[in-house]
Amino acid sequence: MNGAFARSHPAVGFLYFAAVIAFSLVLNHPVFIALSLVSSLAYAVRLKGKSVLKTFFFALLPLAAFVTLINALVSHYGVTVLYTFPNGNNLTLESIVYGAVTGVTIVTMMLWFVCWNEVMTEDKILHLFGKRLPHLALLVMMTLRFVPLYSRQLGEALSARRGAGLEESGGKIAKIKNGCAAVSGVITRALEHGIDTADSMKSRGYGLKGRTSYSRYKLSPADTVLIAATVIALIPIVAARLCGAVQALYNPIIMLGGFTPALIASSAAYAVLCFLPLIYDASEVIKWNRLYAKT
Amino acid sequence: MQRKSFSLSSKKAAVLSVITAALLIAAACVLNRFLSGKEYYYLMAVLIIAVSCLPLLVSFEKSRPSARELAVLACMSALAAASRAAFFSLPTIKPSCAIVIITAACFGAQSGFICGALSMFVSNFLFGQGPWTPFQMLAMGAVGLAAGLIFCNKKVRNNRLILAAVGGILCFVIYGLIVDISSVLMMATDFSLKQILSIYASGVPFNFSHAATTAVVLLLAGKAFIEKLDRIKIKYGMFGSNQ
Repeated sequence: MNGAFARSHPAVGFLYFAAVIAFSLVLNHPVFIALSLVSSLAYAVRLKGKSVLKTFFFALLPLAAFVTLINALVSHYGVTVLYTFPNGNNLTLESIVYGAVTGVTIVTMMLWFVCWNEVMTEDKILHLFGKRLPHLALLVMMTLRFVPLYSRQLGEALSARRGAGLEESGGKIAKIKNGCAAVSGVITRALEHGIDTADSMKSRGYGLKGRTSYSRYKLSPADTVLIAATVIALIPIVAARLCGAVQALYNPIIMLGGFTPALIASSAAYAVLCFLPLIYDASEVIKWNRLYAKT
Repeated sequence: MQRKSFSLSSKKAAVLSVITAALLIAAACVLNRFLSGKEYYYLMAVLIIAVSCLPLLVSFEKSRPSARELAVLACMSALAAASRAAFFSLPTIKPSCAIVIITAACFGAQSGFICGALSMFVSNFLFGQGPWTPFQMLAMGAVGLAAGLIFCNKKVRNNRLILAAVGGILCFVIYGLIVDISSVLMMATDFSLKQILSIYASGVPFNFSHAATTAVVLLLAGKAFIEKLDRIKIKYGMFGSNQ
């Protein structure tokens, strides 16, 4: 199981991830970046296990390094010159640091999306939009159901062609030709199947008035608390950001602005926001163990 | 039971979408004077995409699609998504863009937009949603929309070479341009022209192979696909074919 936070109402997850992803982008002070990075990594590991660490060290960190490198080579803003290239361009400390900040921000975003993919499952997203846009929601649901079906049929078609010796060996064009023939067969099968599905839907009352859609999510008191916690934690952060108290400057010179009370207060709030799922999961585990010990 | 033609209201919606997008971009430029810093660019872009696509989505919702239209659209979107996943081991062979273009050519611009956006959204449940999802959805949707508008002329559509060439160009220009915006918004630091161009340049080889595959698929199988879709459309009187 993915823990209590992952089981909460879709609105909780959507609001939470929208907030952390947006603020991971907007807040560029190193303290905030570090908080967001650590918490997203910790939550991703909690959701997906240690395999995330492998992705982090072997795919995401190199990506950040790549972004840093590209920025340092292409951009030449900044006042601290470290090295002058033969063609007269400068390698500056500012461009390296800003590149690294950008790279780490991208990595953090990716990690938050790893968590998003685990928590915001298809049914949760459909619950969020299904009431307002029922036809689109139905369309998404049908498509989601058809994808594994047609993937299997595509595999069948490809292996049938292989078995019949129709698979042309050779270069890319031959491979594409083979793939097209398989897709073509599946299209015929899929369209007729789609019409059957539609007729079956119609005979079961699609399009009649007064039909509602089923959803298993209901806003519980705990969900309300989570939404409130997210919103309350955002207030000092937004306030500090609007006053410009937590803004870092990287171009043309690096200015971090020291550890002001505003920075400390807003970063504390940000820490609560970022670690909210882990805190909530831990509190639910403690609650469960207590109840279990009582019996 | 009379209902509005599937494609009539979609044109108004497309115009409305473009106007909304233009207004929002102008507003974002004005706002940029007050919120300095590149930190907001990505968020603004996603917001602009979401809001300006609303008219198209709402017009689809209001058009009250019949069960058959809905099922066939889901079919084609799922096929596009599945073909993106099925040929995962051969990363350059992705017939999904070609399938979206064919769907748009046969079922109209609105269906093309919905099919493109939907196929990217759904296939990302397999590949993983990420910061690129809104841009991929918009890009593939725009390819479908453009293909639907260009290929509503049957003479243009039935010429294999034109179909392949236009499909390849749409894939390269529209899809490449829009999808790479997400990399620019996230990776660029000072948004100088040089930086933006260098990020775009790093995407060109990938976009080119994607476009080439799309063109080859359309050249080899486009006509066969179109015949199948047209047959279904005429047989069951869908997407305004009986009017």
